[in-house]
Amino acid sequence: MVTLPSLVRFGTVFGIGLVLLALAMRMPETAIHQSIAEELHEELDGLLQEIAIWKAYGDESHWLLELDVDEDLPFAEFLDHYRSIVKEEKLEVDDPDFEALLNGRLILLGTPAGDVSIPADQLTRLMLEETPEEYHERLEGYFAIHWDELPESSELSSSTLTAPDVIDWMEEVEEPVADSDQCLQITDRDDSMLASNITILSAESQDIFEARRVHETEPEEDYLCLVIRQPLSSGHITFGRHAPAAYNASGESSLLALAAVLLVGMAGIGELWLARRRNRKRFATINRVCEQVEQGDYLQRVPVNGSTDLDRVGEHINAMLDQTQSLTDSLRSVSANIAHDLRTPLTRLRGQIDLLAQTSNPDESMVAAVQNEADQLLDTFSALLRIAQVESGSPKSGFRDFDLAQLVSDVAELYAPAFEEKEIQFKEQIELNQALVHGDLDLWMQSLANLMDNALKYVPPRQAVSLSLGKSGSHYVIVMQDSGPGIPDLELDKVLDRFYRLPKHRGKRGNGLGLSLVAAVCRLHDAALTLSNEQGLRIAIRIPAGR
Amino acid sequence: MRILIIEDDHNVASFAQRGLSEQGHTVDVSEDGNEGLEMAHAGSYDTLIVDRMLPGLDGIELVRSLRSAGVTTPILILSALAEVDQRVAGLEAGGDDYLTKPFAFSELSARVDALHRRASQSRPSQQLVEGGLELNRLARKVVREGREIALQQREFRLLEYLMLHAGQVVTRTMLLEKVWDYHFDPQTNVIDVHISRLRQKVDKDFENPLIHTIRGAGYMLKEVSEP
Repeated sequence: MVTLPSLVRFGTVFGIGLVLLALAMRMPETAIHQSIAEELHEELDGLLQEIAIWKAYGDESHWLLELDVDEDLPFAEFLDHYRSIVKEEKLEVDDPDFEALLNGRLILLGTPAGDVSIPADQLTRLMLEETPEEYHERLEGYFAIHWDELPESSELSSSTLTAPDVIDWMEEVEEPVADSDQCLQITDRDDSMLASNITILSAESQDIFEARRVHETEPEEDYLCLVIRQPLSSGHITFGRHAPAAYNASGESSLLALAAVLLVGMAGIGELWLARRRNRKRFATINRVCEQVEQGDYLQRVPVNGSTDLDRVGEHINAMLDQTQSLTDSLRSVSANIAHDLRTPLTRLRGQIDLLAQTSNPDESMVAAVQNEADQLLDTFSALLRIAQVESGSPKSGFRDFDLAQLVSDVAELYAPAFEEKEIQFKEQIELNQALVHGDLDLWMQSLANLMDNALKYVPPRQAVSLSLGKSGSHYVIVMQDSGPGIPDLELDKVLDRFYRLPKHRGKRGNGLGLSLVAAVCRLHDAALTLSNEQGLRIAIRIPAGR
Repeated sequence: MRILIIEDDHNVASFAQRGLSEQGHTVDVSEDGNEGLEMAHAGSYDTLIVDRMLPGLDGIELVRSLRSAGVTTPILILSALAEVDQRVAGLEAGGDDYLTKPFAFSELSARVDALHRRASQSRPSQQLVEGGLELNRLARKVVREGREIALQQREFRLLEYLMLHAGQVVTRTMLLEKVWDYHFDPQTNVIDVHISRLRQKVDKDFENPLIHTIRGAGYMLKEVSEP
């Protein structure tokens, strides 16, 4: 996702990168000098450290110095050397744990154990501090040195060295300087020269400056040196080495160019990362909202501010949540209604059972009455379940092609005798030989039966009821028409609600669910259900014809 | 009759067991699908009552397994949901009848008897006889004590079903299912009117009524000789 702020940021970093690149092209010599100066400082520190050790331990520490503290030593060699010294001095150390201990100490110091080199400064610590106590005692016996009186390695600071110390060391120890390319000058506190093999050339105000090494015996072998100067606790030491053969500018500047490219690259990645992080936050928000809804808080919505892809997702989720909320609300109210409407028959049933319990000799009719009431309740629940199933749409799996004309005829035939019994004139009018539709045969059968049941219940004797089937365009139309009182206009759409009974019919047999099922079945089949008053009640169902 | 009920709902199982035992049947119960399958193979039962949803083994799978093993015992499938496609699946798997819970015990009892009757008659005869009533299934003719009775198509089928199960209780639901292919309980007693029509033709002009109303259950066609 490209946004203005991210473009600005990227642009800035890109600009910086370009500048760096330009700088790299024009590398002054001072940068090169700078890296050499750092190296020299390191070297000098090492040297001074060595001198400090010598000063602290004197001759007794010869075996320490033999380790060539200036170099990094492979660990195995160190162990061997240490062991050999111990053996030489007839110390009995045969402890496999010692190696493990040293390994462990190395790891703690930040260096992986194994075949590694031990940095010089850690070597001293290892030698002096990391030796187990028990060996201190033994070593004590062989050396007139008390280990706990030895200074800590941190105390071996070169900061206590004076210029004379260095001179002493140079005289006692083999001069390390002779054939190497080391340049050295020691000056005393009052700047008097104590030892030197160089001549300072350029100003001493910079960190690193030029000097000329004067060869002891062969003047032609003079070299240009780069040296650094460091104060001692008393006096100064100037230290350096021969200048490199050629200034290798390209090496340093190519590093800078690489740095520039890396910077720009990282800026790009940084932008992507930022964008991802932004998105991740949005995703986290959406997840949080969904979790809260799962916990039951339907009022939560995803914050939407903008028109990005994520915002659209958020809008869709909100729409789904709105729908879920309204469904849940309506379900809650329907459940409340159902519970309310079921109390009456249940209370009635309870009353009958109580009566039965109180009667010492209940007769058949009492028992039958209770059974009847219970049966009616069961019917009601079954009908409710049926409606719920139809409304949830799952019965579509029971869809198949069937002949509506045959069905209407069968239903008419099933109910005809009942109508006759009630002295209601029933007429069947099927204008078609066949009417193929696609749907659930049993659901339609029950729907039509419900309509017939209603007619039987509510149409007064000596009135007329007709059931007809015809075709209208691409639909089949079933019409049930009676000459009864009809339904008051105000109640026409209410009658489709669950449990709704017309006021005058309340108390009669029935649960008020018949038309609810018909309505649900019609909805499931995309059929239109229309109720109207046309000198009696007229119920029309338009069903799309099958293929 | 030896009956095996495979039903994990303890209430339903004991309710059915008690009722059927009181009627004189020997009833075993298993509450697990796998165990029930084993028992069905091992014992020789006359009727199996199998619940649709079982722990261990799906009821329909159990029926299929029995049928593919060659077991021909009549099976009545109990189901908690009256879904049409479920009923068809149950019957296609090899079940013989399908009853939804909750059910009245009389319904269960009548259907178990009907299943047993159907199974024991490998081929019901062309001519059904009960008392002085004769029904010829091929010729579609009904005669009682020599007098021919004219019946409409549906009336004939109704009488035919009652005669096929003569001496057994036939519930209204069974009649609606078998004679009208109607699978729900009607609100009004439409069946009763059809029965009374039939009675008009078959019983009215004769001394002994053959069609009886069994209170709380349904109907029965039977010759009951006067004591």
